[in-house]
Amino acid sequence: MGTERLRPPFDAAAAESLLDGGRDGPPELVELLARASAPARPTELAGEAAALAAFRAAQPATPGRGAARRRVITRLLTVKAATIAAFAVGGVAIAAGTGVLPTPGGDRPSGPGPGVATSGAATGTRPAAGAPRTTAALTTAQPPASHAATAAASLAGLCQAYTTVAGKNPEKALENRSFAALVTAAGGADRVDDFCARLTTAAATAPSPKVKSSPARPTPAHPTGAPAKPE
Amino acid sequence: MMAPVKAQPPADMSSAVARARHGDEEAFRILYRLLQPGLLRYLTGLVGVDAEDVAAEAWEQIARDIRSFQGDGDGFRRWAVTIARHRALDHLRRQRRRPSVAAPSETFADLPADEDTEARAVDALGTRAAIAMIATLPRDQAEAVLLRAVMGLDAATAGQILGKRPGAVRMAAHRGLQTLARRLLDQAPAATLAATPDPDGRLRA
Repeated sequence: MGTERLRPPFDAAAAESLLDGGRDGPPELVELLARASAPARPTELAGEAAALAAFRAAQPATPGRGAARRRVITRLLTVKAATIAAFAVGGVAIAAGTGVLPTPGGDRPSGPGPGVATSGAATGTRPAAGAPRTTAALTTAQPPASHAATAAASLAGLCQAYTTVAGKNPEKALENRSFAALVTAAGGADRVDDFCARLTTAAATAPSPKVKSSPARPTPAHPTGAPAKPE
Repeated sequence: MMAPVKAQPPADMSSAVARARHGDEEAFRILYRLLQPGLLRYLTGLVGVDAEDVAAEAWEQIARDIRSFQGDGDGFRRWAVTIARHRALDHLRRQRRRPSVAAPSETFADLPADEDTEARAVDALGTRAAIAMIATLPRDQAEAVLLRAVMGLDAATAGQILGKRPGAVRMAAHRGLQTLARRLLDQAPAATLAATPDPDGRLRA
């Protein structure tokens, strides 16, 4: 119980050292901090396709058109759905990933950058130097038809995972909460098949929606003029 | 132990920032991969299960505004965390205006019983449980601990993000760690990280 198990409190310097990754302290606390800062996992990067889509959409060369469409896609692709998709695909269908993604810079400062090749990443883009891909966490065969197709690939991945599972055990498949987002997006469990079929078709044939980002939200948080110097 | 972001050679990140500012998508992808895991965990400490949505909002804004960003890799990291934090605070404000809805906290248990998946789920749960436990601290302490230990920021940078002096950040983080250490000792060892004290991961501010 309490008091007799309490160890002497550590001082501020010890706390700083722990926060910097030191392991000299109460073991439970060291463990807690180690878990909190454990290497990145593929699921944590599930929003990558959506973030890249937003980046593309923000480029000046793209004429502003199809904003409504993009909103729909964004909605479908809330990162939550994408996360579940990543998990579903990684766990059910392909599972070729390495399981744990090296954390950028973690405790190997000179190591290569991390990488998961999401399906969205696979469309004809070239991996940058310094960021070799740990391929195969997610690979849906998406034609590089359009930005929409690229962005929708996560949901397509979820469809693919569902299809894989459904083939073996169709009833059980949709009970799995991994597919809850898919059921929601489809508008019901009975409509998932249609939805996935439509999505696949749409991804293959959609025209490039090139859009500006929505001006709806002001950007009070934009801390412009951040000084270039690290302090 | 890993500080996911801090140890990255600044030159890499600075060059990625420079390229991304000029529209290089691969460079933006690098930045995303460098920052997102830490950001997501930090945001989980702030907004619990809504962290992914808030992170998506933050990245949308980062993508939109990066062309006007000026600075190097460290500056970009600070800028991105600041944006994410503001989105989180906006989110909390919005949330306060409507009744809260309990969200399911875990879906891992329902995942297919594939061994590999199970193993990974346990790992993920460990991280999530750790973040959730940190999130039970008062918000200033939780933020200080997360920005320092998870985002890998130093006290001065964390202070700029939080609008505090570095000394105040250090003190908040120190207090937070003391509290966590006490709570961990009071728990049964087996239950220490297996159970999530606050499954929702939401802060008590």
